[in-house]
Amino acid sequence: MPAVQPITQPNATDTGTCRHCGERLVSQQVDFCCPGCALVHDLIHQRGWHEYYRLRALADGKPNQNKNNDLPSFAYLGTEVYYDKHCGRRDGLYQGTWYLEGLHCAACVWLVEKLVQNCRGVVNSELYFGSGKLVLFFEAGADLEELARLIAAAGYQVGLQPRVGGEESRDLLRLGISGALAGNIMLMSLPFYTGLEQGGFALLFAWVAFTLTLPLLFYGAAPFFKRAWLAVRLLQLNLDIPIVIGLMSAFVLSTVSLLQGHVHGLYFDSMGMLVFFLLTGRYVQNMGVQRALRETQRLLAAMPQLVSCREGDTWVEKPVEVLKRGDQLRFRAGDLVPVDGILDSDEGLFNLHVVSGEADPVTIKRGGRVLAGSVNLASVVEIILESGVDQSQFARFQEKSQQFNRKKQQQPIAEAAARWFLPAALSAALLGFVLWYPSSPAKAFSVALTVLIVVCPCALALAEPTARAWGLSRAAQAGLWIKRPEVFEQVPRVKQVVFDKTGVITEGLPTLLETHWFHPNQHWLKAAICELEQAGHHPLANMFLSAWQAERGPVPTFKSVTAVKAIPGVGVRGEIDGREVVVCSLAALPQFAERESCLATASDLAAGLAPGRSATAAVVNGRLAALFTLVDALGEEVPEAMKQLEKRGLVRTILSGDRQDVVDQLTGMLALDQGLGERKPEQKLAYIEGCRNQGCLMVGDGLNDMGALAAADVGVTHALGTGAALEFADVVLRRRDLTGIDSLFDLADRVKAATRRGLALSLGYNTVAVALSLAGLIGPLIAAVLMPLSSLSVIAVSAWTLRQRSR
Amino acid sequence: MGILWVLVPLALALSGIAVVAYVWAWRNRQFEDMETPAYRVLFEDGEATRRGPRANGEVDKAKGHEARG
Repeated sequence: MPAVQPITQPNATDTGTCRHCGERLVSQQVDFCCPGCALVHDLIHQRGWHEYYRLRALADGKPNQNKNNDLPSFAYLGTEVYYDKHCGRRDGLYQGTWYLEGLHCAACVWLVEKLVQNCRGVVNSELYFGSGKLVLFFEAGADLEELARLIAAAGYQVGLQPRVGGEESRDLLRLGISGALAGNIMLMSLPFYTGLEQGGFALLFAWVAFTLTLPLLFYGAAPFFKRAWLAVRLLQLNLDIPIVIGLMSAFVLSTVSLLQGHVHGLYFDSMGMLVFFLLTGRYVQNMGVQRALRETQRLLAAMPQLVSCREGDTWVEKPVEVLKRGDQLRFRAGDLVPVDGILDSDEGLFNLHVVSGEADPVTIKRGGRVLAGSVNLASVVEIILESGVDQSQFARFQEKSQQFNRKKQQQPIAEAAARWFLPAALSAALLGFVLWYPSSPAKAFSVALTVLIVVCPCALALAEPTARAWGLSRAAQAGLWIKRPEVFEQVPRVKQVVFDKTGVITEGLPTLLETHWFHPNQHWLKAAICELEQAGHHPLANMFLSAWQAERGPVPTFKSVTAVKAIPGVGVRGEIDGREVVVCSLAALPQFAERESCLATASDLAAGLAPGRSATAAVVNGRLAALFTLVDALGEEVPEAMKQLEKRGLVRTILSGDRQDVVDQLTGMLALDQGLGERKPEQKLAYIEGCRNQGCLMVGDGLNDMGALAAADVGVTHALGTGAALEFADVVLRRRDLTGIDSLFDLADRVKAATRRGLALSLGYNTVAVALSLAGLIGPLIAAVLMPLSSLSVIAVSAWTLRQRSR
Repeated sequence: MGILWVLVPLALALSGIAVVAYVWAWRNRQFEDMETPAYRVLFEDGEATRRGPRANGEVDKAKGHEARG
């Protein structure tokens, strides 16, 4: 190991930068800018792994940081449920897959692999940088919990795949083999193009080409046969049917003429090219879809948390899967409740944002129902499990949404072209045969064959897949992950865009709008409020912390912080350095503050509050110290995005679980067409079902939008959305930036244009070629040469269309 | 021209070998990860302890133990 180079590990005393991330230090900070960096540096340093810093400098990588000091619990990895549900077995070893978020350079790969190698019980591993996938092979009892904790402490997020399975794709294998076969068939056919017509060699080449065609047809083209057969059974037409007819007729006719000893009129090479080009087009298209699915899968990866469950007199941590009806569960502040239950504590404060869309915390009394997805905000609460995990309202709703998604997939892609193309092609061939039969039966046969070959819908079949494949890759560049390529077809038909409010149009979190100070020492009060909010796990804690983090500076030390108590629905109180500090809602103010003039100010403020805003107060020793106005702020780009959509002439609707007055105010402010508030998840679903197939695009991010997203013609969510939303949406925006929706429309239009041009080109080619072959002007040979050329031109045209307009 | 009777099968055999090599590479999951190996080049000699993709999912136990020790 080389000596540690000064540039790669900055020395804090010389340069005043953080020893881990190299950021400039503020006064009073020693060596590190944050505890996260200190932790990662310690972890690396203790093990003598300075190689990490060398690699990081070499790869010009960003430092990994652990800004989040609250690591999730990885206890799940030690449970039987993890081994049963998430691990495969192979050769006496377990195999498990984790998803890591935050790998950015070679140093990250090195660090994670080092950590894995040093873990007891892990025998082998594979780390995939591109997908963030870490595959582990381990013995029973391996210390996975510790490994996950270390990786997380080093600044990477560790999650499990939401669902196990997913078959290995054999497409690449099929494509490669078909390519090799097609190339060799072409080679064997070359002599016929250059005039070899008879003799032993002609037959040799012809038979070799025939032999190579067999695997190509029955292995390479198998997917087309399968899909064509499926369509036949469902009494539908798709583009695979003409492909199969073309392939089979070319194969049968070529084989017949080969058996008769003729070596002209063989189309094995054309078949090879056809299969290879089609497979390539579909592979490229699938790659785009796979990429989108992989990205969302990575976003969906999370670490299941254990739930504390009462067993006799003690509390035992258990995975959700083994809980039974009637179990008594305990949740701490900040915990997500994963099941439906009845509250068994006197009172609890919950954030139902993802469940119902309501932005304000809700107080639930003893005996009230707590739904899966609620977040416990105040103190420790106990909940009695009402039904099995599979029967929670969430699970039932999820099942219903899945039905919608399945229906969507079965929707036949509008292959209108195929519907009339097939009969037209067959009747043209028949016409040729009938027209020429009286003069010469042999010529009639050749003409019919030529027609069949020229109309073999290679170019036609390629037009749509190539346009979509290009569209998918453009979409990924623009920050859109599209999980279903059919979206391109549905988006141009959209007439109405429906938005969820909280988390989509608004940030979903309150931000500080105005402050009125009555206390002389603002700095002390800010620090005190931050301290109190953090200690009490108050819902507003993050807001205060993010607003004042910068000016709060180095963390102040209070001599004593005691008696901190969160009062559900009211606020939080505590004693800081002997002074009583309370942060409470305006309604509760009279309980804590006395001076009447202050109270008057407060009630004036309350009276003047615009809808959608709320206020909160700080009290020190019974005196009003500060008043804050809060607002759930609009996303920055929302007005711009709404204008873009208005320009497109779309109906814009808000469909929210939040209060009607809040929704009305937003609708007015953004000049939207419709604002529907107080809709429960089922009502949202019902509304969307009503507009189904009339061009309805839904944008949502919460559990409550799951059904609506699945039912809508196009469901859109963003990467910060809940797992359920990510799972059921068709399109995922990489950032919560609604202007992405306009890009989606733009892209879909371009894909449509590219498809149209491709179709026009191939239809034009087909018409001309069919006319020429009916007239007997071109023979099967020229037709076979023209066919691949037309496919190439279609690919070129769609690439050109998408490229040209994006500039 | 009689040489063609040898050359044609030879050419086919050669492409057969290429196809077999391709199938082997695919089975070995050589095409699964196109990015990570590029980074692994940067590691110090002796640091490149990863065993690379394994044949047919077999686990190389001996090496695994070595690396851990």
